[in-house]
Amino acid sequence: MTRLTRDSRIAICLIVIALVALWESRDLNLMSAVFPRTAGGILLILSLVYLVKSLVKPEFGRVLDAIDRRRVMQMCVGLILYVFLIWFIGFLAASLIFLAYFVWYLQGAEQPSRRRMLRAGAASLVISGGFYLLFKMVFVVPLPVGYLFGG
Amino acid sequence: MLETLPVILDALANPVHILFMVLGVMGGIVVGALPGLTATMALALLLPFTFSMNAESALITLGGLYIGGIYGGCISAILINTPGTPSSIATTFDGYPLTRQGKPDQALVTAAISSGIGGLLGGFALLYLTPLLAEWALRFGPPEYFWISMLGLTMIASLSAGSMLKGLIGGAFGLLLSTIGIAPIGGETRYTFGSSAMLAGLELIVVLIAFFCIPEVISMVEKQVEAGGAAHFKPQKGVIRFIFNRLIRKPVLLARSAIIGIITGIIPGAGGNVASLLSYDSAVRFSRNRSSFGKGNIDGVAASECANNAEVGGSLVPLLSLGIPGAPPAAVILGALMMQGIQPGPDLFTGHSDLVYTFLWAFIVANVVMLILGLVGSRFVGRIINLPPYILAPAIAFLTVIGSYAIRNSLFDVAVMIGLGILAYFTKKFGFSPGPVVLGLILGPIAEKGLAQSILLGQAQGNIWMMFFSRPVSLVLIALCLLSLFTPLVSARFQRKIRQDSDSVDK
Repeated sequence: MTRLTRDSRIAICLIVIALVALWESRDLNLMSAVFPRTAGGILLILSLVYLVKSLVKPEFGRVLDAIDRRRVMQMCVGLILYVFLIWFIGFLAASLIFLAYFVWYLQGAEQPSRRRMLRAGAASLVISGGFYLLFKMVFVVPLPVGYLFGG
Repeated sequence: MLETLPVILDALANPVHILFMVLGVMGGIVVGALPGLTATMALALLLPFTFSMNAESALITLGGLYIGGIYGGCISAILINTPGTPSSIATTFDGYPLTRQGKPDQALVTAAISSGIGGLLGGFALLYLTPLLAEWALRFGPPEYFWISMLGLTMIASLSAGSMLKGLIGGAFGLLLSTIGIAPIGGETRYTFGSSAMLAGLELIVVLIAFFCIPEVISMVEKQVEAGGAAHFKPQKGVIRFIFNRLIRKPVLLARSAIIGIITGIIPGAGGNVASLLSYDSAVRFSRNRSSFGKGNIDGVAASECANNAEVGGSLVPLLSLGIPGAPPAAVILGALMMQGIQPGPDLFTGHSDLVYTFLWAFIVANVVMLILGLVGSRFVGRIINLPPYILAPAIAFLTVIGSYAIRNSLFDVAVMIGLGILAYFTKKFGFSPGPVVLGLILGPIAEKGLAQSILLGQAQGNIWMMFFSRPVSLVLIALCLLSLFTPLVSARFQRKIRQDSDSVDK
């Protein structure tokens, strides 16, 4: 049995999404269901066409090979952790940590470590502090204080 | 209007009014440039400050703020691929590629000039065509809204980079995303999976940030940021003259974009994002050099910015003549008018003609102020991209988070933005461009409301199909849909034939 191509796997995911969308709309009244069913139906048909196309004319390109996966994963995980940190320790503290870590990390190991740390600390303080004050004081946006501090 | 001329001149020559206007435009540009803070939010934030002002000062300030806010959205769209306001969504398509080529000043100057031209044309339409256009706008019922959204969806052909099938899938996925939350007509909750945070649906600007900005941030990190691969901006002399000379030779592009913007603005609920997308699409379709769009063609920036600023004037047409706000920021201006004891509507031009004409002329002057500020500022704002990538990437990520949080003060929105953003990064790698998804999300609610209301009306009248296919404006829109769908196919066929013919002549 041949392995499924990347396109076939994406098409299967899309078919599942469309089927879930159609299934979830089964108990809705007509006015609530008419549009989701239409959109879900269109997505299902197009995904089936995509699946057939991917099986008939398979493409074996490896688009993710050209990227630095470690950096991409670090950034993705970092962004997810940032959201968690905002919830846990509040916006300002989480932003200081996020910015300091990524400015330090992205400078690369070849930079002198003292300069890396200084740049990271300064950038983190200026950016998060400046925008925190702008949003909190000028635009009066109530930024999260964090679960740890009773938020 | 002539009898009110002395009053208008007196008001516009008042230094306090000029100061308020300049401050309003500047404030609007700053707020509009920050992702997550929209022109509506800027107006709502400033509204309390106008309580103590007289009606003239309040309206002049708010008008300036509205214009500045819509223009300001282009700055972050061009520099960091994040539309500051939804109206500047189409500006990202060509504005950001120009930034990546180290030409952010060209994109910013194009945006300033075309915004100024669009704003002025929108202002004059507001001044001279208000009663006429408002009457026309009332002919738009649910079936017309449905067809106008279908017309918008035909743009997928222009927005699909590479595969049309993937573009269509993206559009359908966007339509499905737009149905999350409470149904606008049926009233039932859909796809919330028990989460109360999902009841209000996905916030458009959150999805815009997710699909346009997060993939760029990850891409910046993905490359060797310390290698200095990013674009560098060195201000060039004569950019304003160069862009002005290029744009002045494109009167059709600018006029078409302004007309699209004005008409879209007049139709209540369509909004600046629809205007900019429709205008961008028409620029692509009518261009001889279609392949250059999406790669840094200034015509794309001009089409989008001219339309969304013309839409500002258009959105005030139904407000002033009928009391119906054409867009959310116009609704805030309606509130400001009512706070001053003025009820917009058919009697406004007779009962408060001094005030209305002063506001309309101030609106036109504010567009000139915006143009000057935009041109002066472009040299300085463009320098942002000279920040080292190791600072720029985390700073943009930080801005996306604070921007998506500020819209509804919701951490859930931030989580959605990050989740969709990471998904968008990988789907982009697999050939699914974000444009069609966002297009589906923008047009989905308009299409759904139009479809459901038309079905209800059709059921009441005993024939659903007649509701969709018999009204004159609907028929015009259907014809435009068909034209929009088949023009690319026919022109592609013609081009193929011309190429074959020239090949055979060569042989």
